[in-house]
Amino acid sequence: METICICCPIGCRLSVKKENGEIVVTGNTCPRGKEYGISEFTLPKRVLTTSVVFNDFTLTMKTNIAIDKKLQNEALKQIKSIYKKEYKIGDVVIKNILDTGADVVITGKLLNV
Amino acid sequence: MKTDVVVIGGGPSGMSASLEARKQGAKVVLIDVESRLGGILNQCIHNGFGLKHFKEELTGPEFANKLAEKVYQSDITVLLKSYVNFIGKNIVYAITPNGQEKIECKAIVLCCGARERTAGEIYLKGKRLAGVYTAGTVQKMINFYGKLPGKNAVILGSGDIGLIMARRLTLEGVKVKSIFEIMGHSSGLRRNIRQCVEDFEIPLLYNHTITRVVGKERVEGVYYAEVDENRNPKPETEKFIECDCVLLSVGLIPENSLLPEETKREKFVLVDDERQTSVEGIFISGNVLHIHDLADNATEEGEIAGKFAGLKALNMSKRYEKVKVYFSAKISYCMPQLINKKEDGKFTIYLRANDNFLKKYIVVKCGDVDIARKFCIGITTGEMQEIEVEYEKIKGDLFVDIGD
Amino acid sequence: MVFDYAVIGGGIVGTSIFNKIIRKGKSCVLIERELDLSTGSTKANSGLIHAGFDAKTGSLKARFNVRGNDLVEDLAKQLKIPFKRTGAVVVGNDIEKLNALYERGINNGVKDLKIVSTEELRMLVPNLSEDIKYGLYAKTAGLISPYMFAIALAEEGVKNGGVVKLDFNINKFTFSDGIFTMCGEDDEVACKKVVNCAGAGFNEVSKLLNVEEFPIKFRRGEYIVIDKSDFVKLSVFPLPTALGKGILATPTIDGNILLGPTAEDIDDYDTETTNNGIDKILSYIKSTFKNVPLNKNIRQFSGIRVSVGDDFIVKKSDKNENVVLIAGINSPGLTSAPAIAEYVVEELFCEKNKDINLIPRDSYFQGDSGRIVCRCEKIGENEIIRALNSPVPCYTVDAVKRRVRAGMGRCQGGQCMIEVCKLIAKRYGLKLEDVKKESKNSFVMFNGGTYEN
Repeated sequence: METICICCPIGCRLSVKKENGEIVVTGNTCPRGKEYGISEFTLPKRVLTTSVVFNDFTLTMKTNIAIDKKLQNEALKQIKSIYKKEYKIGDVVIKNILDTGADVVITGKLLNV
Repeated sequence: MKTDVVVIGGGPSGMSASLEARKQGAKVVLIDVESRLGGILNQCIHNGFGLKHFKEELTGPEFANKLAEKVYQSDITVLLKSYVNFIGKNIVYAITPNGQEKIECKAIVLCCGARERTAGEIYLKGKRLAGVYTAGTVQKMINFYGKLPGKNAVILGSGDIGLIMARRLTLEGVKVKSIFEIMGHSSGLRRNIRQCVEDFEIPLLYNHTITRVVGKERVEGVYYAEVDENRNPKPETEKFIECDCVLLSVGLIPENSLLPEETKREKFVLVDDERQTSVEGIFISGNVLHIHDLADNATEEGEIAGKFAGLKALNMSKRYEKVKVYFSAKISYCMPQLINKKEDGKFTIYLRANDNFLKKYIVVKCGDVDIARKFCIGITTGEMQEIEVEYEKIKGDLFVDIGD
Repeated sequence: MVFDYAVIGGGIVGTSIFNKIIRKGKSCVLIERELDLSTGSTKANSGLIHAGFDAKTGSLKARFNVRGNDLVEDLAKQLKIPFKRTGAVVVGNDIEKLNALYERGINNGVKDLKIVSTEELRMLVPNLSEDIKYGLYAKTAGLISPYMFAIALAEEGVKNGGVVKLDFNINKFTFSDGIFTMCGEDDEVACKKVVNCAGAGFNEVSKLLNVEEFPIKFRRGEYIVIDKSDFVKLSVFPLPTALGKGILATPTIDGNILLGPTAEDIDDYDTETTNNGIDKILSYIKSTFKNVPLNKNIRQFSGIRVSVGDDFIVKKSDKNENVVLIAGINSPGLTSAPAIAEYVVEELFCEKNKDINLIPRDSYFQGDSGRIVCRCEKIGENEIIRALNSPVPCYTVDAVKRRVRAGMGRCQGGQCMIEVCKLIAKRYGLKLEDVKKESKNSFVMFNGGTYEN
């Protein structure tokens, strides 16, 4: 499989294949690239970011680790249904969302004046 | 009001410039037109920031917040909701919530970022309808206000903001029907093509452009066509696609209108390695100087400008003989264009290539001598390159080239 | 109540007549089917106050142009809107044609006309191509914002008792016992006399009124707008042709440069910009000028001029003497409007008494801009709020833009459009997704569905 590493802005061109039962990544220039290549081959994952708008403020949030790419839409649905509450940056909004092991964390709060 | 350094613009570059000027011991006033610090980073809620500068992966708001916290922990005076309408030598006029404010200072750092190129600037044909927006406007619409520009979108241009918005729209339930790129390649980062376009199987048509926007009151569709080598649409390839909004991601333009005309040469503002313009005491950094691919780079440039603005204000800066930076036809521009011949230390030349190159060296020459070389696996027009040079090796004007 | 007058059509002609009727102390209602005034030809023209040498001597155009040019200056001062006599020059090498134009101007009663030498021409237009040798200079020509002119006239009218009804689409007219009744979708208006100056909609109104209809033709003119520049300091015309005054380069009252218009006869009212049109402007301008600041191009638009034959039609209906018909108002319609209003009100309707003193309108700009919203044009929140609270309802993004110029600058609203939407929504108690750009269904944005909690 040929792919582009998304771990940093360099965007290394990765080549991933299975050799003797082992996943081999080439083209990476750092260990994160290897890890990404393996994950992309087995279960592609992405960090999900979004914002939720309330009347008087907007919260931006992210999953603290990448989650199964196919679960992005379902995760979003769950995130969008959170209740209005006072949060600070860094607070966990949803723990272990959809059993992915990822927490949804507040990244920013904007006042809508 | 009186201070040492005025920094205009509270984005990453402005915040880091303020912090760095303060670090030198200068009194700093930081001015921003918005009601919070962070600039455009606040609306860039996606991740991918900070690896270079903070050594960790952050979203835009987190990146902004890290710098803003430092600013608020310091004794930098922050003026929000304040608009600078004039700068001159050692003087800044701003419209603040309390009225017009005159600020006397010893150095100014301009960090007011860039704006997006508009439909008018690219002569987009058709009607002036609701539903044609720049990608950044839509980013704000969605991320701040939870509103959508339509249900079926097309995107013109494949700059990073356009790619990021393709993903964002898709996740929010808007069908992105196509992205048209007039060039044969994207000016966006490769990873964004991967994670924002290919992940969602959005068609990205290179060498294509929109020829006409049609509709009655809102956008109802666009005509698009393949372009020839001169980027002119081929009429026989024109097709129609139904959509109710058009996003433009066709480039950013430094918002440097505050600067005196004499500081500009053609498209660029002339600066030296300290980011000082031809007007003594006026420094400039971030996207207002040249468009950076990464907030991290704008931040680092802010540190340079802020440091030297601080030193300047405290009368601690030294004068040096300056050399010029020339470059070959393979390069579209180099930044900075003037270098102070200092005795020791290093500086970085940033450059953009005119074409794509594989396995080449970026070379900095002084006369016939290579004073810096850097191997690059791939150089693209979309990605800014950088090369470090040692001051002590400078004997005269520099020449930057891409070669073997 | 029964109004003395109803004016149908909120362009520059309609607003001028509305204002004039109020000045005569009569009651008047101005009916406009769009969501703002000046959304037709009035919003998309060159913004010039012509001197009057171009129109055929003896025509209504010549007469109203010269008189209108005289009236504009005081009117603008009274309305607190900017107007400047920057002058105009027709350039060319055909000295005979220029002389003929000069003669016509003198015959039309135009003051301060002059044929200028090559040297003088260079001084007037430093960026003119070296190939062009002569010019006819008209000192009395000037610049005004056409939409602001119309809006200010209406605002003053409303402030002094007039009524403006926007978004009023007339479905039906009835006429009995000397009273007209107009029915809109959910509103009715009664009046004694009617002016039909509905521009492109003239025939639709005439049909309902059961009066004369005319064969109206549409001519499209495309323009390029350049950001603030001193490329030309006065309006520079080529020699006129049968199609019109030709492509000109002119400053606008706000400091922009306008290049255009083209002249293309079209079947439907269609404001597209086209490849052909823009190319035509660019090639003409590049061949006539040097140092054209095309790198500061910020927008293109096209406007529709309506025409019914060569001259204006301004007359009483032969079928109903309580109806005045105004049709085919193309160039120099903007300049002529105050004179048309004077003629219609004083001559056709015989309101001969002296104008009463009106309470002046308030400018949106009072030196306290507040937080800057539009960075390119330096427009503040207070100025926008004043426009939103002004006497004529202002509730679309483009309506705000016409009044205070928020969104007119180089970023074309990229940075301030949503802020303007927010201010409109707040003022009128709307949701963001209810705010429109210009017309009824031109919603700026939509609700995110599952998005809002």
